Amino acid sequence: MSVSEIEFDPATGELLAPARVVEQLLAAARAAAPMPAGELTASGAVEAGAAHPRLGLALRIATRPLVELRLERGERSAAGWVALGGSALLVPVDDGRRRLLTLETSHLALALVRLNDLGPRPVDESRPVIALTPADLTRAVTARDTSVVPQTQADEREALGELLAGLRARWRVETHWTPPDNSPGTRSLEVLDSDAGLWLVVPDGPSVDLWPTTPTIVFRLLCGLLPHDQELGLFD
Amino acid sequence: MTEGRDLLAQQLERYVHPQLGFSIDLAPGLELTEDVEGVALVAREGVDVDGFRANLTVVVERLDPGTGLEAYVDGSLAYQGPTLSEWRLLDRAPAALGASAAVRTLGLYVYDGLGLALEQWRAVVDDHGWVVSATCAALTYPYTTDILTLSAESLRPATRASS
Repeated sequence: MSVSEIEFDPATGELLAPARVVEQLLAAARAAAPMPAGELTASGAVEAGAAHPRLGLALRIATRPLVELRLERGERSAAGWVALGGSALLVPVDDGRRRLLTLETSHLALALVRLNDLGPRPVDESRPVIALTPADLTRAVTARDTSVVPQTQADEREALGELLAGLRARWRVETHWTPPDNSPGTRSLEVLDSDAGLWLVVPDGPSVDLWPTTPTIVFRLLCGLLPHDQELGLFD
Repeated sequence: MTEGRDLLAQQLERYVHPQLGFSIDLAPGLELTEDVEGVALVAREGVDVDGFRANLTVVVERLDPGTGLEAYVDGSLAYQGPTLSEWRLLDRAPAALGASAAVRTLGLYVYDGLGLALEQWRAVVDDHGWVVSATCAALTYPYTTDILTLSAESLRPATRASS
């Protein structure tokens, strides 16, 4: 590992590092063990076996969260954590490293919107709901293959063709928390984002339905992924 | 309209601006201000949620004669974007304010360290631009938008015929 692979900004606490280095940091934080040294020390992220205070905040949030987030966008995945003192995100960057950063929880919606490139899309209210098996959905998205919809369902097949022709991304956000009795402890949102519009991927028994939707509804659902205070057992 | 929206709508109370004559239905208990420069009405929640008091504002501005709705929205967004920190437009869709065609937009920005959601409805009536803006802490959007939307879409702009 070269020093340049690890970059740390003491002003923001933002760390750029290979995935395995971040995993080592998180493992040490979980075990309350000394932080790994070497290149991390050279970058200023670790001093005398302890994380820099700004990095320490991110590690505390990530290892003692109230809510965990898992994000998938195509082949890329990211993680997030929400705690009483703020939130943290661990996201991939184009050169293969990971970026670990903290943010105010009130900025989390904006961060999730940016990570998933949510923005205005056309809305065609005549678009039909498309029902597929999960395997057919994966095949359709991977191979841009509309044959997963029977020719007899012309409207659905045409809509799927438009969706796939302009497909930007398939993305998913899941939240998990330790639930009291009145909470499922998890929520998720999966979206197909296309130049032709947005579709929600909604599980329906053994199949999934693709529901045409709007950026406003996706934003509302995205914010709604976080549990209420009562679902976390706070302020009972 | 769904049953839930009906129930919410029944809670609203009609407000009529004393000088400009427009009306809008508002939730009871809001703090109303009519003397903010450039803003006809500010209606704010009395309680902070996530560090912010959700609010609804009405702005009326004179436009160049013949300004169309889409051009008005384009110009308004072009001005607004750079003035709001970390502004991001999420949606832009047709809507209505009373009998007037309108455009609804939804965006996010940061103010005073808080992430906020800003939903706006714009219409052009008799060479005047009308903007109803609903602002809330971003993560509270799912819980505040229904009543703010009902209020916003109840705006009846004053027209030459009604004044």
